[in-house]
Amino acid sequence: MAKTFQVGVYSSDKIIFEGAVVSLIAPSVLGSLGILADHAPLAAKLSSGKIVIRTLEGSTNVIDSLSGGFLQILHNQATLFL
Amino acid sequence: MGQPIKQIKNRIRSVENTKKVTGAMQMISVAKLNRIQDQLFVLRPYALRLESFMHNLIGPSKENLSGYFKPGVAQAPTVLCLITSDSGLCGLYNQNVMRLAQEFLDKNSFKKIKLILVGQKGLNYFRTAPQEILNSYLGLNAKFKQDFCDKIIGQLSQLFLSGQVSAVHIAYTVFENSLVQKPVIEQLLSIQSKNTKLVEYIAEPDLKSILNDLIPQYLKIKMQLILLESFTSEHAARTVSMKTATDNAKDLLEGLVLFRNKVRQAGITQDILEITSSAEALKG
Repeated sequence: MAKTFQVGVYSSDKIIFEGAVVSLIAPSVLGSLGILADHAPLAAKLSSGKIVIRTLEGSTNVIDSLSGGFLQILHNQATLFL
Repeated sequence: MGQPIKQIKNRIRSVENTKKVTGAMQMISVAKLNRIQDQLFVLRPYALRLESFMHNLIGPSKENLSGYFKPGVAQAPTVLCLITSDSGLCGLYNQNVMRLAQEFLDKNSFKKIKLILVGQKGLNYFRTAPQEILNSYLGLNAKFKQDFCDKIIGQLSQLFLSGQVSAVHIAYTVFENSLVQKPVIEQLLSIQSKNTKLVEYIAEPDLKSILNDLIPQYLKIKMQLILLESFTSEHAARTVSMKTATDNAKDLLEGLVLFRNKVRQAGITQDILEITSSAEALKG
């Protein structure tokens, strides 16, 4: 079974996504970042683009981010600020 | 029963009108409170997460990373930003935060403090104060407006970054629940590091450029949070004070109605007494 990690996608007016996921793809300013569980601590600036989240059940969530934002990965927990 | 019944009736009518007005104001405040409270409760965890991210990122050593962390020149004046309401009838909401601000000014009287005031009530109070008022923001009426918020934080950060002031403090009211609102004073700038252990992040593109974007964003969110906390407190305070006013009017009305009935009954008794006694007299 694939390892999962926690992802939270937040904007200032709502919680967009929260839950355990298998993989996360986020558009950083230097290019797309693919993230799996047990990633090293990472801080990144995000540009606009598609955020793709794959959950354990195999469903894929695609979030269109129109503005930039930030991504933090710490203790197997990814937090995205849009 | 000295008062003529007409006068009592007039008083009853005027108290009834007051009760209607305060009742309506209470319902308006409740509606506004609910709306702004929802906004606040969503923003609060977001702001907290963003703040902890920022503190993780800057770690213990920070001064060279960005101008926002450098403590200002000691001789330069500091700024106190005070958030009050524009309209009254909200209990002790304004008094509490203004008392705290006044205490802060008294305690730091050796320093030069300039004021930035949000809300008419604060302006009225500090207009005659010896401190210089740099700017005042009026007409928000406890409604959150993004452009107002951006303007305020824009001015505050510009003052600090240009070195005109050495620190920015902000006095506002934290909403704890609808009965308790706590006035507080916080140092907004320079940003104080809360985190002593450094997390080794892989930074993309690099730490400096992330912070250059993150800190203005953080300040914006922080200001938004401060305004929402204050406005929510204001609506809560107004709801409570209008409820008290309505309840008092109700009590007053009860007493007045009872009094009116007594006076009326006394009049009737008097009349009957007069009729019967005159009938007796005629019989005799």
